[in-house]
Amino acid sequence: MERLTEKTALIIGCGGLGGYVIEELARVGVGKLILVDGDVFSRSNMNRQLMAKEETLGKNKAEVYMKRLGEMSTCSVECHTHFLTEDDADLFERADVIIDCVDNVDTRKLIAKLAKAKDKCFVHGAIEGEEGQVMLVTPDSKVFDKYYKSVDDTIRHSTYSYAVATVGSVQANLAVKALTGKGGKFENKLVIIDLESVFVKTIEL
Amino acid sequence: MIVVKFFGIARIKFKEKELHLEASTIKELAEILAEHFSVKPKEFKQFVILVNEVNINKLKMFRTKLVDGDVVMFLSPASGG
Repeated sequence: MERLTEKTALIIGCGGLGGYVIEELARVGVGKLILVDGDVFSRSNMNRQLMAKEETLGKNKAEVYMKRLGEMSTCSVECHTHFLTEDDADLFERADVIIDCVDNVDTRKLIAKLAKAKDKCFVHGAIEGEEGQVMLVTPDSKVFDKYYKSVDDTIRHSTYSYAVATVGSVQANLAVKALTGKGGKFENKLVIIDLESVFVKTIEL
Repeated sequence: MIVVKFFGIARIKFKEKELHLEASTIKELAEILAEHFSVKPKEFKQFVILVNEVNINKLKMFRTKLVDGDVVMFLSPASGG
């Protein structure tokens, strides 16, 4: 816990996965969270995104979470209300770990590229339906690039709140492991979470 | 029998979670699945394929032999967040 208070996590995407990751990293004691999201809450987010409610509709997601974290007073927060671009490399520079909580393949690839350029680990997380996947990727690994090599985008499918919560929690868990030097045996492996079959498996790609 | 499990996009696309089939190689399995789902065998090249949790790129790719009881998993990257 003591070491975590000195750490900074960069969370890109503050919707479904990001909501759980932010909440859990703040409560576990990470010292600083940098939030990035250009999107606003809409009614269709209400089925799975923690902070999507009547009073936040139309408000920027990163700003809403900054306010929430201010109410909790467990960590310091920095908020960026735009979608990630190549110009955000300095945010990666200042972070100890990056968490990929976005909803499109192009931004995921940009996160992988900037993390590698800044020699930082990132925790990838994605969901489809009742399934999800998580990877703790080190800068020297090509596992993410290989896995997403031939993918431009994927089929969009309804996601369930419990899938979002589970995948987000595993991401938060791996982020804390990375921040505390305990990520070793989990690095560059794919965690498959299948809630239709209630099945979790860690595999090497 | 070979146990075939679909995850992610593969499951959504083919609307199947698990099948039990006879096949002696991954190539033959892809051909059987292609016929079953009325798609081309090359459709299966887009997925990460594991045999008993080992990626076929660490085995003999589509020439990887299968024996009774093997579990073949078809994975694909997800996108939602």
